[in-house]
Amino acid sequence: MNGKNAAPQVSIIIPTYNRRHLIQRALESIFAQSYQNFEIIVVDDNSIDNTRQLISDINDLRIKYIYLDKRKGAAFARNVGIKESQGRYIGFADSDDEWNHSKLQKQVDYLINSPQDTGMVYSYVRKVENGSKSLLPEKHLQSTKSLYIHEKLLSGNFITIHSLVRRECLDKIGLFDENLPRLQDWDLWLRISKYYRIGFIDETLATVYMSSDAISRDDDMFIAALEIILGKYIDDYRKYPHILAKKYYLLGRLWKQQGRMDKALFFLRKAAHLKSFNLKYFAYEKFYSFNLKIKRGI
Amino acid sequence: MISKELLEILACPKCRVSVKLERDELICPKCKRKYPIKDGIPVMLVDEGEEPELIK
Repeated sequence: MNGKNAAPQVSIIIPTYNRRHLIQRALESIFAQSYQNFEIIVVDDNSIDNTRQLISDINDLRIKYIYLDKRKGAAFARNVGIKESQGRYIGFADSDDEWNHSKLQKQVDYLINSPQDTGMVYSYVRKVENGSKSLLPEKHLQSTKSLYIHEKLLSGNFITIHSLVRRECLDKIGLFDENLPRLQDWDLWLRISKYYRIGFIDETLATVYMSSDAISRDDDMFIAALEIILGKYIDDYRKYPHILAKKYYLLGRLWKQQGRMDKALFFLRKAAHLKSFNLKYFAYEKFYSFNLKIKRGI
Repeated sequence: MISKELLEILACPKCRVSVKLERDELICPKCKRKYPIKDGIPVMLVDEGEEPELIK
């Protein structure tokens, strides 16, 4: 902060791990933005593919590069980047992204022209996976015009990482939760949406290329993360029993897929208890309960 | 200057060993490459890392 150069308006944080072959496209799309008042902080999560050489070859002082001593995961790496950043607005990118030319301009303009209590803004993102394209969030999920979306977010995450967040918002609600094995972005949006309005730009402003080796939805980690999130926000969830019931039901189904009938039953019972008139929950609970008894020879 | 918290999690991108702070620079104990700190943030790009004397 004591440098001669004025602090940039926007800090773009990119965590990366062995994505040398992809990160160039992401960086080029950022350097080609119509809005140029930014710094990029690449946090290298202990890559072994010589990513550093590729970054070194970029002749632009706005790019900063930090190399971590151990692999700590994207949430930790993003937090390191946020702590070392200077911008008023924090943007996130992944190494397999490509931003549209006006992505940053539109999101910066949105926040500049919004009251302080609009904590962040998100947009549509095109997802390309195995050659097929889809939109995130799916159109039917993006029906609300309200900027108060905490309740909607409790149902599940529909906001991608390609958002722009006010720094003071992170100062207030904190950074990514490094204790979560997955779903750290959802958790951050949940906290932001509790205290701030969240803006939406009705345009597709980035493309994300899902590579086959991208972190998969590893079920164990996902279940663990979902259980932690339910615990963290249980007071909020209790205000909306129908949403909580759906989450319990989902956990029950996931545990069932893992072959853990005891856990499956535990959550299905919770779902049925919250919404006993829902025949689906009730039927599953009875069905699994019956199966478990057979297994145990009761 | 650089925070203690950040210093503890940084490694030399070349050797992947933890770097140490010496005066106002980071130094890799293995390859002796030095990484300057600009505006409170380390410059860890290899080209900017000062080459140790024996390479010069």
